[in-house]
Amino acid sequence: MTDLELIDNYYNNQLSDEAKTVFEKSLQEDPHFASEVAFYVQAKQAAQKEARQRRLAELTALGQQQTLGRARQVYYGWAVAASILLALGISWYVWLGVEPTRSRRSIATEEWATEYISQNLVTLPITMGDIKQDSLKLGINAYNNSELATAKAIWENLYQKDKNNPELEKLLGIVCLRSGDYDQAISYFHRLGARTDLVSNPGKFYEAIALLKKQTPLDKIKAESLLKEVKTNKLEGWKEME
Amino acid sequence: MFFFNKTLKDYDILQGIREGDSRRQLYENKLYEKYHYLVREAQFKHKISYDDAQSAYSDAILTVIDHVVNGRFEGRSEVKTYLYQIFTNKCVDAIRKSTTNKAGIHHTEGLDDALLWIPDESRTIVQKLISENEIAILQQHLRSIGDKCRGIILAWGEGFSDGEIAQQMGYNTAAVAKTSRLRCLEKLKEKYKLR
Repeated sequence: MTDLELIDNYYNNQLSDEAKTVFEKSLQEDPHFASEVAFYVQAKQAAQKEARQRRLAELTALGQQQTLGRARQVYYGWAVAASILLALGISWYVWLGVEPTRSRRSIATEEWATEYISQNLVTLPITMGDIKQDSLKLGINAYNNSELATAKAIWENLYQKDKNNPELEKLLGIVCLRSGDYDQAISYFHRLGARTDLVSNPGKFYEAIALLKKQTPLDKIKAESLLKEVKTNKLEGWKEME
Repeated sequence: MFFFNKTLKDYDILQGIREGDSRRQLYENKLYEKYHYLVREAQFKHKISYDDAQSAYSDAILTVIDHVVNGRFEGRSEVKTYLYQIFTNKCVDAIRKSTTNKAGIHHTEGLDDALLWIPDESRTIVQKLISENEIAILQQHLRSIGDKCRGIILAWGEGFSDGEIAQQMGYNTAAVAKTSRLRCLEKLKEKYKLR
């Protein structure tokens, strides 16, 4: 048995009482054996210290990892929040950008069309001159006096003679609109809107108003599409939607 | 494993540490993580750096673990209360250390348990042969005896029995672990004597 094994057995209480007594006597009398015991005690203390230092380093690393993890969690939290906000922002932008008329839904309604008509189409502008000599003005005069059927008859008569007259298409559309004959109004405005030879053409805008007045879901979608086109291309009437 | 990742109750953690098997370190880590938030609190309360607070916390955890293993912690108070008290003392030590070098006197090494085994008349003889400086030299030599030997000696230093060391380090029996441990101690002694 080596000295170290003997010392180890002593500390692990694996020696008989007799062997213990011999051990303690040797410790007092044999300096070499005492130094062996001192080494054993010091080695154990060194091992304890070293183990503690190692464990301290491990725990500190664990703490740093935990701190980093927590910081990462906060970072991810912010990143997720930012992503959600960004996604919402993009969705909103797309919602506005792709379907701008949706944002005008409050405008693209039957109420809005009615209000527009009452504010802009109840009385038509008439230029000075001899009304009796000009059937067009005669019709406008009748229209402004709420004689819608008379005005319509006058303009239809003129239109039969001059089917290429955009002004008559506009006036006939307006009078049909006022009279509640929306299909007819749409027809006139559509023909007017299809013209490409005019500098200023309110056909599509008026057609949208007539469609809104019809109050059917499909006509409403068509009206929204037309209003979008008017706004995008800045056709006549686009300022009314601002 | 999912449940293990959940916050364990103090009782379970203490049991895991006391059992001393290969999972002891995992339970120690769980204890460390569970109350790690105290580091931030201490940082603000004692106005010390985060590193100092973390170091004091690690030290406090190891002390609590020692007390749990050697039975000094009897569970008369909550683990958190016990840890908090020790941690506070360690923080105060850290403050003293940063303000005066006299703090060194508070770090006296306790008389090693190994010395207490020896009868009084023989203890003095051994004690005369022991010095802090020699222990520091031995610590250095411990780093040069190879990983396997270092591991077994440190496990012994942590208080693991030969049976537990055998289980942790893959030795067939406790007797084989003991033979290996003593052989490593011989190796350490040779390096130490050769200096």
